[in-house]
Amino acid sequence: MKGWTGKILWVDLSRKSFSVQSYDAKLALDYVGGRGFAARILWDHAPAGVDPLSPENLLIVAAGPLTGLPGPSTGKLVVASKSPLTHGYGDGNIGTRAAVEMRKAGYDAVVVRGRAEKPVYLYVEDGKAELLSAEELWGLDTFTTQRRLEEVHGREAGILLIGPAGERKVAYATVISQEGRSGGRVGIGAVMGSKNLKAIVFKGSSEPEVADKEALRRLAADAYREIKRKPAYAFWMRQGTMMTIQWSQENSVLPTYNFSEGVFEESSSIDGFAMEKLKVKQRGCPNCNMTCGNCILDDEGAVSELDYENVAMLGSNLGIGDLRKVARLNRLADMWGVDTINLGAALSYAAELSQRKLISERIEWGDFDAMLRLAEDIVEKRGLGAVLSEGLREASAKLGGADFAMHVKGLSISAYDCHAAPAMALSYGVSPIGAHHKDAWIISWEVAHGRFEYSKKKVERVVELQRIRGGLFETLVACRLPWVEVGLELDWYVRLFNAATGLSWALSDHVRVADRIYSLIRAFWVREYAAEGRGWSRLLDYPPAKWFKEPLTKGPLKGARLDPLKYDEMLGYYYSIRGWDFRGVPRETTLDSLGLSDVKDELKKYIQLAS
Amino acid sequence: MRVVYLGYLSDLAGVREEEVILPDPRASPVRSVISPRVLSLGEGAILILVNGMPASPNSTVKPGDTIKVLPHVGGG
Repeated sequence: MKGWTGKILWVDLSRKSFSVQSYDAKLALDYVGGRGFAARILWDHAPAGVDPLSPENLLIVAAGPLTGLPGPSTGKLVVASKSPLTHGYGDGNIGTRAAVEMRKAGYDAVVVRGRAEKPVYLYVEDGKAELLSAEELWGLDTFTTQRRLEEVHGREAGILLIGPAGERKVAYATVISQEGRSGGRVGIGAVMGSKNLKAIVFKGSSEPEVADKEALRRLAADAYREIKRKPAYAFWMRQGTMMTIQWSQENSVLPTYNFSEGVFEESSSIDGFAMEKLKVKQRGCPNCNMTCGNCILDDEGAVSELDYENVAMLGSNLGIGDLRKVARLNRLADMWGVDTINLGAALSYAAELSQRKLISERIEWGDFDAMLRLAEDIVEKRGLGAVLSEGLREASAKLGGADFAMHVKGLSISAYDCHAAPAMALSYGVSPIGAHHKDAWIISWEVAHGRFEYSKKKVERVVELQRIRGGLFETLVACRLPWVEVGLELDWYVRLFNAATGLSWALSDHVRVADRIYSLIRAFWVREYAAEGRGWSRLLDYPPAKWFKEPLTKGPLKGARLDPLKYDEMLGYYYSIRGWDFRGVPRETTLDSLGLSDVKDELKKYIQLAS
Repeated sequence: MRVVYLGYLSDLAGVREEEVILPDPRASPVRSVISPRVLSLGEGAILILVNGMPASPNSTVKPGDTIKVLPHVGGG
């Protein structure tokens, strides 16, 4: 195989043992890499119904055949596990030197099981692996830990690590790299913490063998040039994803006051232009020529790397209109290793609980000090913070307010209000990890194509986007932003893949892989929920009740809300495209046609399947 | 009436915001007052809002309206 290293490193922390799997071509051809590898490995090797924080759960770090190779924004990897937040399939991607170094060290993926007796970190260099003591690192924030490990292993080392939130198993602790690159908002950091695994450090000196090195080099150089020629490029380099604050405000989708409104009175204080005035530097991922990590100094004078999601969730959604204060919350979340989106959603949910007098604590919109104290309590697991650290689904079961606990399957909604965006609501509903925007960010297309309509065309577009964003990019593994933000054509990625692997795939071949992965991931959710006794229902694919029950009260779209019957019709059509039954469970014929007959046989042990 | 260009469209238009006079004050189409360079990107590349509500290049506008022209963004 060219393009892939063909090797997966397996690590058992309980036994302090390592093994190298030389996997066969079928895994590569059926699943490509990244999310595909993670989903298949979890299905095959995680015991059904496994406790996500038990030693038996798997932590998977997976690259794809483009990771680390020449090409736009290929410095990314996927971290995955059974999620302690959702109890279903969970993953996230991170742009990091660790992606490049893991491949140079000789591996396409690393799978970790077991639990170390004492805190350790995994060190991998050129085909060798060892466990080193992390006792002196335990308790340190992610920025300090990064620097300590760089002092030992060099600044060129690729490092994935957790902070105090992961160590304390906050259900939405993330994996952090390079002081602000964060991924795995479904609680992958908590999985690492449960294993007493503080970090993974990669160093390598070999390059993955590719089919046509010269063609790949030329193609990559041309693609980089093409990105710079796009009309959106210059503005993107100024604002990156921060430009979306203004866009969302204008389109009444900026999450405000716990997703009660789509416009924020102080949006211009936290938007891309406000950020530009404060910007001190810009940083990004390896192999990227459209770096999007815009850094400002927060109100304590420390560097904070901003993007749209964290500013919206910790800014407008909390009623905070001071960008430097938002930046402090963001920077602290990164240092603690906790997801900014879930954190923002937990804080705004608590504020709404307070204002409805369902809790005794007083939390007003825009009260930065109260929000900061509660955020610290979440990470320290104190009082109300301890309940919120379990995630919105668990917290609302104890505290009430399920209608305004803004999550799907336990994962909090990311930063787009959907009172007047039914297809985006569907996208959140059927995302393979719980509510997240990365698989099918349809809202821009939706606004331009009849935003108030509930149509088959919209559902078809959600599926199309899932196949590309959640399939192609999550398996290659490469960043989707050159395509989605400046318009680099998809054909570039197909050609880069073919040059690396020597295959002659068309986009439709990648689509078939994506469909296989989506049904496999759905099968995983159904198996795990059945094995845990949670059961499976169509209602799990519904967005929060607030969007159906409580209309917008401000802005040009005042009065807008979702229609539950029409949403349900769209959901049914989505299932029919996917070949899933009325419950959202893959049909026997669907699994057979996707080459998942073995998955079908296993799934039938837990739930009756429609033919 | 006011035309506002957001995101990189302000680079293309050469202005973030401008006051324009409608060719026909009774019923002019949106396309008649938008920067030709922005329009040349094609309908699929831009979003148009008139007074905050979704519109198209063929929608009609009147004096006092505000047109906002937005790029499609990918949303991270």
